[in-house]
Amino acid sequence: MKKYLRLYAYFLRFSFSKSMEFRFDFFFRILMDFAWYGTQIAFFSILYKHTNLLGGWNFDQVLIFMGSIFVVDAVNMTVFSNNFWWLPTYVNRGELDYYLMRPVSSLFFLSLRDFAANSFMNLFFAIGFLVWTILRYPESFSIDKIMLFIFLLICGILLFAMMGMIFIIPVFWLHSQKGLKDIFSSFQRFGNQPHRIYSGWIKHVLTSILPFAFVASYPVSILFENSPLKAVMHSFILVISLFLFMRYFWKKGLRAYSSASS
Amino acid sequence: MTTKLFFKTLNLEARTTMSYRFDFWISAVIGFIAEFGAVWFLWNAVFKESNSDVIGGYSLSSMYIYYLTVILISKIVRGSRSKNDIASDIYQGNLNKYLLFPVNYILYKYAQHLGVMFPSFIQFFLFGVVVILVIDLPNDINLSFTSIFMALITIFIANILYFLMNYMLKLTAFWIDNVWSLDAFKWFIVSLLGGYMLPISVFPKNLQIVLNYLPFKFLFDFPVNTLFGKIGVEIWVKEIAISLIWCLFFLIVCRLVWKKGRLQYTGVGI
Repeated sequence: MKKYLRLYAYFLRFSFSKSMEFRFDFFFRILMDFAWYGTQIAFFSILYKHTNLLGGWNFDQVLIFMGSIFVVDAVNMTVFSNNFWWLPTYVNRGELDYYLMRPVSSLFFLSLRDFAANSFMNLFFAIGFLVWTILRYPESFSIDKIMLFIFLLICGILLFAMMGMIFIIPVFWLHSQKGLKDIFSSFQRFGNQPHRIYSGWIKHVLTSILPFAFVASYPVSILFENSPLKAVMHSFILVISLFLFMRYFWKKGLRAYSSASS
Repeated sequence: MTTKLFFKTLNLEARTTMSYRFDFWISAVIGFIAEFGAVWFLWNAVFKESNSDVIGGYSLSSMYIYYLTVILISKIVRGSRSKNDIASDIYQGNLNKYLLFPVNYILYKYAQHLGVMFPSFIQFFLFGVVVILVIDLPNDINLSFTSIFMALITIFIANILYFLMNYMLKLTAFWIDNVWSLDAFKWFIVSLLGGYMLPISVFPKNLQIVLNYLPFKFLFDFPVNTLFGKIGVEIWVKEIAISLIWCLFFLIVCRLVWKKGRLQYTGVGI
């Protein structure tokens, strides 16, 4: 564990010095994320001009939901997205050898090596926005609920990242440009809306096989519910199951990999 | 640039795009269903919880058709991302050859853009035919041969407008190191203000007035409403003229940026 933490500290140091090379990109990344936050807030603001509730939530509650989505996205953009972007290229060019030879987990190395320091600033904004939406909410929340919310949101971040990876791993067989990343992006839209608007089999899919409902919507809902333990257990089991599946799938993928130099 | 070269470039790019067939079709079909599924549940909830029959001039069923159409039209207006875009040419030094070749660079890039878009064009017609055959059109949508003909012209102009906006933005690669985030920035703005995320008639009235003076509505909202027969011929001609003026504006800006940018270019490998 100590070895992995030390290694991650090196990743961070390298990423920060690299990001300073591209100062314009640093600025434009902030601009891009602010545009995304702005369009999402505008989208829900316009919807709420026509309705008072959406999936049982009022606008104040949806603002907390949006803050949570922004935090999940900011962590993903900062910690994982660069790594997921480059993985298909390494696989298709047969350039994974360098990472497979290291005396550390290849999954760890390839998922976390490239920390996007240029997205780091947005993480502060996203967290700030989430805290602001919670503080401006007309009722106050107990410390227990806030702690549970933070725990579920961390689970949501992990679920989101693992689903992202699971959709990229098929590149070992498909050799396409991005794996199935585009499909993942389409499904992602389900997670950007309150889970109570879904019904029927899609609701079951979003809470089990593709648990987008547990990324931000369920974590936010426990702030307004009285019996949150079921959701906490459900989320925890999902994180463990998805992690085991991702590791199994990764190993299967590596077996299908053919190096450019062998 | 000769017509023959234009179509050869288009053909080559279309074949390159189609080389990842499985990925392309799976992504297209599942992406289409997932994207529509998400808005289906969203608007179902909005209509139910607001107890409204009509929002922004759309009934629930015509709102579904709006999104089905806008998702399909956006495939043609935006096209797919090409590996050979302007920014890549600048970063990788591929622009060197185009500066020497006797071709008009912007026309060459447009031919490539159409080529990359060609498979999306097939999807548009296939999915479009399925939608028309499977779904009963609500009364407030008046699909006719005239509206289809007008819509095709509108979509073609929207495609050119989107290409020029994209081209202008990608030319900033002469000065900045990475245009990816600017590209994403553009899409967020265009998707909201152009009517991809929401029909413009759903926006507050004062914002609708502002949007009328911007070029974004010509990309998605205007083509959809033209197809639905909601735009009279006289207004359509006027709006088409305005959209062409926007195209001309972006073309002039592109030329100016290109002229300035070329002087900044340091051809890798020269």
